Amino acid sequence: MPVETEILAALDSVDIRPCVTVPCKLLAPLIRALEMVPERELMYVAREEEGLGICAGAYLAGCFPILICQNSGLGNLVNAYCSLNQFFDVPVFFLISHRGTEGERVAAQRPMGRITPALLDIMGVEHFTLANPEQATEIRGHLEAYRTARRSRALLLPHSFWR
Amino acid sequence: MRRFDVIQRVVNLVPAGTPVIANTGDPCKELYCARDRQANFYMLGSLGLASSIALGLAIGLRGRRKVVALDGDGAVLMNMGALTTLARYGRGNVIEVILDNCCYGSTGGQPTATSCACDLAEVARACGIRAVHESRDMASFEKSFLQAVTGNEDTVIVAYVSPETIECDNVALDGPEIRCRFMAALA
Repeated sequence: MPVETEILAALDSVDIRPCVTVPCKLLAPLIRALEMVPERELMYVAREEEGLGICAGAYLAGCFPILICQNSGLGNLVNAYCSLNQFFDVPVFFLISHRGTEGERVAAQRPMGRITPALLDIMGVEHFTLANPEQATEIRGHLEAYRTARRSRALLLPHSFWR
Repeated sequence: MRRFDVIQRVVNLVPAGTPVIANTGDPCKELYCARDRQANFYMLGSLGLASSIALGLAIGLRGRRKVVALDGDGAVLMNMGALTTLARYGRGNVIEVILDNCCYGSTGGQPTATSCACDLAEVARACGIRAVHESRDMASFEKSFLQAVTGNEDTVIVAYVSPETIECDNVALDGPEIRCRFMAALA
């Protein structure tokens, strides 16, 4: 099963909505698949911290939203994560394409790629790397854990996951 | 007109249980002072995200009730892209009140771009918002606000207010407390 089909099935089974995104080339097949499923309420935003605000609002209304973005976008949302999500204890699930990892062709992606796991550590966001496409089956469990524990969680999906 | 008077009018005009999101800094304090209620969300940090939180609520509530954001000019300038997202995905129940005092009032009154040529009503229109109102006095604000409350369009109201702030206490609630009672008010 292609990874985007697996991810879509996981999002469906845990009823994750809305799916808020700033796109990435690696995420493009997943985003295309999400566009076909109105129940997942795909929303494109202009900037990642804006997406975090939308996710927070949706959570306050009783939903379990997801932010789907590139790791470069993490730098754009650090203050919002600390002063909104942490301060009010509002969880969010991050599905992050991890650029700058092995196989990266854009040199400018490498510095942010290197600090991404440490950045999530310092933000206090529990994170997991899915290093190969076979691990797509684990995503459902991560989403269920987010819903049940109401705690933030991030999945890092490097180039090797999308091969 | 003073920002406090607009905030007080909003909180007295909204139907019971309507979520009201207050922008960082003085607007939080003024809302708390004007009328503390469970459905007030005092956004004490994350400058710029009041309208985004309002849109998220609107999506989450599936358009079942109105959602009001009490935003500021500095905040909107920081997260201007959010107006494009509101125009694109709004469900017709967001009322974005931009309290434009032409300055960063909470940090000492430094001038924002609206003190020069920037016109946030034009910005909102250019971002795709169809219902955009401008108010320079309380009567016109009240008329626009009530129209937004009874209508079914996402609305931006730019209220031109003086930089005047009133003396009021800090919000005496912690983050989780604000969130818990807010969620309880929506449930």
